[in-house]
Amino acid sequence: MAYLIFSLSLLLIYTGLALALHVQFGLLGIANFGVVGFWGLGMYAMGVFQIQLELSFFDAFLLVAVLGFALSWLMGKLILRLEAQAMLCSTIAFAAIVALLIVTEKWATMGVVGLGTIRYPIRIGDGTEFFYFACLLALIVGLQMLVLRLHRSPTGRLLLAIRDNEELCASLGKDTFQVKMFWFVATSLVMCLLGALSAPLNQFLTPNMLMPSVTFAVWIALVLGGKEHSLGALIGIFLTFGVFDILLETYAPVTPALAMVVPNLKLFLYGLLLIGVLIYRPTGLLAANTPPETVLPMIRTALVTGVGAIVSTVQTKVLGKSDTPYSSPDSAAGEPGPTASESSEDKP
Amino acid sequence: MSFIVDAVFIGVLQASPLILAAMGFTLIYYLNGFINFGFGEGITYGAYFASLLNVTFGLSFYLSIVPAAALAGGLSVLTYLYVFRPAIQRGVKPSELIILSVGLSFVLRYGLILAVGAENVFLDEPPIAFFTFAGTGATSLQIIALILVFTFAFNLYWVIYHTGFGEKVRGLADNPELAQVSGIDPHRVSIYVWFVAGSAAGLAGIFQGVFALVNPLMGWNLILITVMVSIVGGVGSVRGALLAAVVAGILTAAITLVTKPLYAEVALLMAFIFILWRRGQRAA
Repeated sequence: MAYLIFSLSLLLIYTGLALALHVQFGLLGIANFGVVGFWGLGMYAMGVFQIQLELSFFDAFLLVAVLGFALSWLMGKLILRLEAQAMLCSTIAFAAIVALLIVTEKWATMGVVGLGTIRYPIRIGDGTEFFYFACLLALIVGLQMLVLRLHRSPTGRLLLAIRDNEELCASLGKDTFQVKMFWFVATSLVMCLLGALSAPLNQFLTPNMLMPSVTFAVWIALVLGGKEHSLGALIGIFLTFGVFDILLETYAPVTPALAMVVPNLKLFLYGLLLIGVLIYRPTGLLAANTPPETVLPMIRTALVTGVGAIVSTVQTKVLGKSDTPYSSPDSAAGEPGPTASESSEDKP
Repeated sequence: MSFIVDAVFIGVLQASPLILAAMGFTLIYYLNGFINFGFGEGITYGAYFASLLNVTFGLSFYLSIVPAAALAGGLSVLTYLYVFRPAIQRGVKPSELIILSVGLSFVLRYGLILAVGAENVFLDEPPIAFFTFAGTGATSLQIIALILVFTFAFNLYWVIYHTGFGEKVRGLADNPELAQVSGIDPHRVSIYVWFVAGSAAGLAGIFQGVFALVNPLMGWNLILITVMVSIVGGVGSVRGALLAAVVAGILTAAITLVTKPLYAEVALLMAFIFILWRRGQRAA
């Protein structure tokens, strides 16, 4: 049970990372391959501040936020004007630098020996882990709500416009670099803070937690779920982390011999999945959100035709054949209205 | 003074895997216009093919070099035919091709671990002679590697800039539509290029493996530096890749002589981010 709560908490952290990456890549088109850099930086900074400086959880958290902000800002300045492939190389190099420095700077991070034990912010006897999980859940639900809201807001449309055609957007008077900067720093900071929050979960930190496979796990989840859809990150994490790390590890009858193979098999299958999705369904499982301007009329039409159909069947079944002439013009009036106007719009 | 001599000497001797990898990598980047992280697995597989021939079948190390490199080249062609070409034809964008190549590299790497395990493998080294020049030493193996690297580099340079085939490659890289209209078969040229690039990766892996050891992560550990060196050297420039790899090797050696080797990597990565930033939009 304790392990399940640990796995679920980790799932929430990963969902948060995928949500942040969704805003960066799905909405803004910033190819950030350094997710593990920001996350690991937050996690290790939390550890170092708590263990070496003996700060309380909240003081350390504040310091992590300051540090994360500074580094995200610096990275933003360095990469946001680059073209996508160069941006990707810079961020992956950033993650590699973080991982290397954590190994070399033994005076702070204890190097490969590992750093621990990191305490939970509040202890409530046996319920500590569960309480922490509940807090994380509330946080991630909040983040998801924010992303959903962002999708509906004018800001969300501005982000999409910048992704699709930055020059055009700039020519309309938007300061595109500032907008990108703001959202990149905000989302990278979220990644850092999620790292800080995962430090008490892991309790003992070692440099091999900062393998690039963390970045790719998040990327695979996002690409699989649908990078442009507001729920893509969530669905992707459930289908990858949820299925492989929680369902399989908890419920599948895995023998000790097989247990050695499973992590490698998992990454092997992640790779296959990623190739399959990118070649055969590049948008992921969920394609981009349909804008509300088209969703609402769609729902209305569906409702009108649906209600019309129900009314007409009720009329024919209950009231007999005599009412059929009335019901068919009724449903006809409901349906062709929009189609007629559409076709008249299309013609000229 | 002797510090500089040492750094240059050690740097050049140890740079041969990096030079090979960077030259192969830059070819694919030049022709198809995307960063292929799967290239790193060509390095790993080259080393494993060599260990298969050298350790399992007991072939001498020098005899196993060419077949192992050719096998790695074949693998590279297969990845092009069955993964990248279908993706390019379906209109997958360059930034998504990179993600695709990362997926491919996962499949190859963890497939290899599932097949042969993650243990370190050591190649059977041929008998080694040790030479001394001006106070510093080199093994016969390092010198042979270096000679092979420069032969390969020179041939590649010659082929790309002075033959009809090279003209086709450059034509396709610069303007695929125009090249096709002029009667160049993109398919055949690409297969050749992917084969040459894969063999270069395989050779890099073989020498990296014999200088140190062979394990499934070796390609991944080398690919980031390879990408950096190729981009800094200029995309598609065999000469630039060679020069940047030698400079990176010398810098690594110099920093390693002063402090920890990991700091050399950090310094190179920071320099890379800085160079990309200075170049701005026209980076890659």
